[in-house]
Amino acid sequence: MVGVYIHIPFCLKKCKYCDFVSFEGKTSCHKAYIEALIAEMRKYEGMEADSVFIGGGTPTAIEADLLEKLLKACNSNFILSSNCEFSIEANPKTLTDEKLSVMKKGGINRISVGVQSFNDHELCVLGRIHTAEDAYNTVCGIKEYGFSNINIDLMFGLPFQTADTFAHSLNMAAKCNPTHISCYSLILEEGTILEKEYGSGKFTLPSEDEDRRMYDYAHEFLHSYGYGQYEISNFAKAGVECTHNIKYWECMDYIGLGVCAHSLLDGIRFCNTDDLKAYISGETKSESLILTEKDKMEEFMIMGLRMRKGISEHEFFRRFGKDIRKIYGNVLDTHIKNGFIRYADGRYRLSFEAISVSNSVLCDFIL
Amino acid sequence: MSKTRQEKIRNFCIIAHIDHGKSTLADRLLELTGEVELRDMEDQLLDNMDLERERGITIKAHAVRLKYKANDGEIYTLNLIDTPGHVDFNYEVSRSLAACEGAILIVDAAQGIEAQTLANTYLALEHDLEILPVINKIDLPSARPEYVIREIEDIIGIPAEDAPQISAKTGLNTEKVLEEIVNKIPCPNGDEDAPLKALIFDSYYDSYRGVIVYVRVKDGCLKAGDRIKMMQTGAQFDVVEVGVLHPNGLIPSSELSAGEVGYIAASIKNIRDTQVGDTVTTVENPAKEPLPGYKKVNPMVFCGIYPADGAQYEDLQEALLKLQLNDASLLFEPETSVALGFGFRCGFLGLLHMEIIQERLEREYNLDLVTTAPSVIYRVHKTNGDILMVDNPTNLPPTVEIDYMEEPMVNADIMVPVDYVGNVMELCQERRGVFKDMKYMEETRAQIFYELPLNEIVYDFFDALKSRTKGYASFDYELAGYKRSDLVKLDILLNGDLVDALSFIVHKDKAYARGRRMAEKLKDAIPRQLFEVPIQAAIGNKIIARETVRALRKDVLAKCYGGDITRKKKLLEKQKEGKKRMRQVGSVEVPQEAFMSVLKLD
Repeated sequence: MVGVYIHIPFCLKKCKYCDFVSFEGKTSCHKAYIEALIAEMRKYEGMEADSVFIGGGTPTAIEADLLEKLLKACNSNFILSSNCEFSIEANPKTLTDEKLSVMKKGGINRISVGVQSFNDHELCVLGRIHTAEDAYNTVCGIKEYGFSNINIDLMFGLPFQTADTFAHSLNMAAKCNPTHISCYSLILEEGTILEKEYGSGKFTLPSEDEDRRMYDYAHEFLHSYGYGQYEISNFAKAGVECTHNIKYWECMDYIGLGVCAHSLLDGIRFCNTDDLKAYISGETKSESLILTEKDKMEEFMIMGLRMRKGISEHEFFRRFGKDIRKIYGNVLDTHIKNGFIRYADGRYRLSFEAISVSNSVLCDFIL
Repeated sequence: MSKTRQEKIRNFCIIAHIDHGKSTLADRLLELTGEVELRDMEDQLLDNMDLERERGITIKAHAVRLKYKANDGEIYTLNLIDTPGHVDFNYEVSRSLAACEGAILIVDAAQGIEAQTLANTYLALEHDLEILPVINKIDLPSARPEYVIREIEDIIGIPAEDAPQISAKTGLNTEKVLEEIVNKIPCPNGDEDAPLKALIFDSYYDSYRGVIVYVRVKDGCLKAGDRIKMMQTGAQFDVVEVGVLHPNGLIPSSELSAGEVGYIAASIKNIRDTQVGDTVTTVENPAKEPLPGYKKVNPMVFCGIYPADGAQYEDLQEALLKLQLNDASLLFEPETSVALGFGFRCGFLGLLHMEIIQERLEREYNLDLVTTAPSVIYRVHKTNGDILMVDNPTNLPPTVEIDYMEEPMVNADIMVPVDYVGNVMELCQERRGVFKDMKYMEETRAQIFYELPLNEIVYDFFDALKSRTKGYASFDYELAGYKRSDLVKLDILLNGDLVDALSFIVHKDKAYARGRRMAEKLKDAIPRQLFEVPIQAAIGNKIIARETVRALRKDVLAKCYGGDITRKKKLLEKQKEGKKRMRQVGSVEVPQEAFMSVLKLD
């Protein structure tokens, strides 16, 4: 069974830190884009899926009728398993009652809300179009529509953010009582407005030490509220970890529909064009890469070790027919010795201390 | 009465300070004599190594033959022997001079005489060469020919009133130089019937013909088929070809006779058989004794050269062998370092020679190198009476076994405008120099003499001298034996592990400062790691400086989903690549730059 990702590349306004493929405005393209999506979907007609994730951009930026059309197409095109996780990303300000009702009818059972912060100044600096209050009300509204599986995205290491403002955001998030919280350290991606502003000295960022203190605090705080950490930046109540995202970290098959969406299917990774016009006119393909055994082993390790449960040596052997110790024995031993990797019950996983410096550990798994 | 063969030959060289216009004048002479077509003229034809052109210095001797129709109607053969212009190659210079009867002394009309010029001029006078002063760059607005003429007369003591005032750049008056060469430089007066004596002044390796030897025939005559013998090395060869050195290449001739300059090809495989300064004679009718002045040159500066990528060890070896084919003074032998793996201990004539070899390895052979700090040869007197010559700090015996140590000294001669005398003396004092003498050359310039330890000038003395005198100082030195000195070995420890490649020998009084400075430099050069890395400088068991590289706090990709994998994996690949380029020293990863950064401490 595959996971299906559907990309909606539209936003009312692009956030300053965002480097995804997404376009402001372009409302005139919405209809044609949804039609192109549905056309691409047809290629996979009858495929069994146990997760669908509609992300963006801002999926809730499209009109209710188009959303309805898209959801219908998903349901009829794929054979969705009975326990299929059907997620959509939503932004406060774009989530109307009408759209919520469409989602409910369309089978959506998980909503991920891009909150990022409960501090209005921080939100403004990030270029978000909503306030903290908007975000709070949105989450409450979603619940009223009977959605119980809700994620909140939060960020730390933000311009002007302090330990106190971050603690406030975490408190508010807990007050919303979602099932899942994604908690990221801000990444200044190359070419984003925020990166340029930082470069020109418009603001300073919390230091590495402050950033890590926030991370440690978040871990502790969320744990005390019953959110278990299952990936570097993801926390969930027991049993509601995000099925879709786990597919990425476990290197399972997924198909991506829409502009610049990536797929991994039968050992081939491919990605659609990032040209909106071209995509609408039906030219989807851009690049593809046949993964070698080496690629697969590397990705199995670097993605799998992101998860707190780590990777299983049996699974490694099942996939590659080789003993993991033959390939990575030295690297594993060195990091075990230094306390960055732990081994128990046939699984290798990063120690908590290793997470903050995980690149230095994970890069050793590149062969 | 027509002139004899030798009367129509002039052998000369050009002495000049860097940038005073030696190569430019040589180009003009070539052009004037029509030896090189204008269209073939590449600027500075004689300096044909890229490095030479870039640095404006001559590294290897060159020689060309020119034909010149003089005002007296005769056609003369002029052999120009271009000499290296750096103190590292003093011996080569002296052999080139010995191949000539005269020297053109070029002095920059704006800058006047420099230490290097003076040193080489004295060398030329020692060889009884006729010196022809030429004032160059007369076209510059800052030219002061009268002043320079007086300087030449006062300092060198030769008349310069009638010296041609030229601009090699524009060609102004350069034909006068040719006439001076013909009229003032004596012709050779060798004995054509005597046994062969030919002076080797250069050689290079040709992959088809073996070593091509450049010689000046002093007496006798040489032709293809002769069996020759190198009088110093004893090696014997059958001459395949002899000829003359045309600017565009070698031109075979039937024979080389007394007074002539040319080349010998004799299928010689090893350049070590053709030592500069050796005398070539024939086996059949050998000369009684060799020409004077031969010296075996010994390297003075040593350093370890390692491939940045251990897999390139063999490539490095091959490249060194190839360079050695053309450079008999380059020595190397395999060495191993705990920190750097397999590499070579290399010996050089001096610092410039070392830099040149390193640069050529990197440029011409595409090698990525890690080099260790240069060392001189220390004389170690052990308590058991043994004497050890140590060119690698790692080989220094334990302190308890050392009675005392000696280090090589040099006599340095620095010329500088009087305004900078204070700065120069301060620098020499800092470098443990002992003041010997000072002379005022005229009211504006002084010549300062110091005795300095060689290990104080092998690092960066020349750079420091230049920067403290705004580039005006010139510097020359000669070895002056060994002196007892209070030396210690300074070690660097990373996370408690000794890094052999960073050890060096230093005077006790300077050890603390240098240890501190090295620790600071390393702190900047070593990236943060997964754990804290203490950097310590130690003499024996005593820690004299300490710095700490803080542990890495944050190096994490917060987000990684389906669309990110390719890009994020590339980041990790890059990081891994960076790690690969680092040296594992105990548990610490040290970038190669760290090894290099401590070479320049000031």
